[in-house]
Amino acid sequence: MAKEIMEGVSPTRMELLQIRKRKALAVKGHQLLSEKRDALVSSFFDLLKKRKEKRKEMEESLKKAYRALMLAEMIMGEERVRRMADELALEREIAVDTENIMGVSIPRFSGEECPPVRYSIFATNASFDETVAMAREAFQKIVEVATIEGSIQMLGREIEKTKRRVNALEYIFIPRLVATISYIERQLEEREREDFFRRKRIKALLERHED
Amino acid sequence: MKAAVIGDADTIALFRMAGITRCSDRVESFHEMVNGEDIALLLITDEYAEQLKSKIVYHRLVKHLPIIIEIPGKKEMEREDTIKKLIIRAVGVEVE
Repeated sequence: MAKEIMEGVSPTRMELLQIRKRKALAVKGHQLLSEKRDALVSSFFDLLKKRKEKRKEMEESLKKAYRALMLAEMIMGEERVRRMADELALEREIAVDTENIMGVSIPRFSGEECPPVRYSIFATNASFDETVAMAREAFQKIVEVATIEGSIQMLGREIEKTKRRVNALEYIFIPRLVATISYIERQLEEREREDFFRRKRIKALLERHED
Repeated sequence: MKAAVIGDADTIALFRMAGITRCSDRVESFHEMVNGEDIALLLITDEYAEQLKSKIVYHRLVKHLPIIIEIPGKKEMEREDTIKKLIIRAVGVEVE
């Protein structure tokens, strides 16, 4: 067997028992982790599906907003629209909660209700109002997408990590433990055979002496 | 927490209306915004994201917040979905 064995083990019965215990633990850990990985991957795929949908909605809504903006710019003039927009800007709070999916904390955003806008009725017109409404709608959609993409990001990282652990256990730790166990077993058997043979020799010697 | 935008003038005007004051039309402000303590959400238009691609991918791997969202800009353009890279890393296959 070309597999590596653990360093610094002495082939004794004590050690053998201990390593067997460790192997049992490693196998259990491997099983648990691979279950975790499977669960993570399945919720990852759910999220991907959801993302596709939301993303499309968001892009649609943003496109509409851009169209409204262009219309407003055509009617009111680019300069004025931008200046009005600057004046309008109220800092909007984004609430961030964290949610827990299988030990992965995931950010959950919610855009707080924007205070009603106040601007001069005379300086603007209906197209501006529409643009504002659409911009807000689009932003709401973006916040939804952000929650999903954020979750995808976190889950993706966790999956990577879990996968690495599962593989390490499966391909390195467990084989090494198995190799070590069989090494110790072989050593012990060898010693027994030696012992057995020695006893036989001694017995033969003693018998010859008596003769 | 707040949101921030990097994009062209029109995009900025649009998001100003939606209540975002941290806006920039320079790619260089990416660094500052990503490291801003109170920014939870960073919107970048595709045009700008194209230039920041490697930084965005890196950021997603090491940091939790802000979440970066690429949004289509005024100009429609072919985009490469950067989330895809993440998916490939996670599950090892490309997913449609």
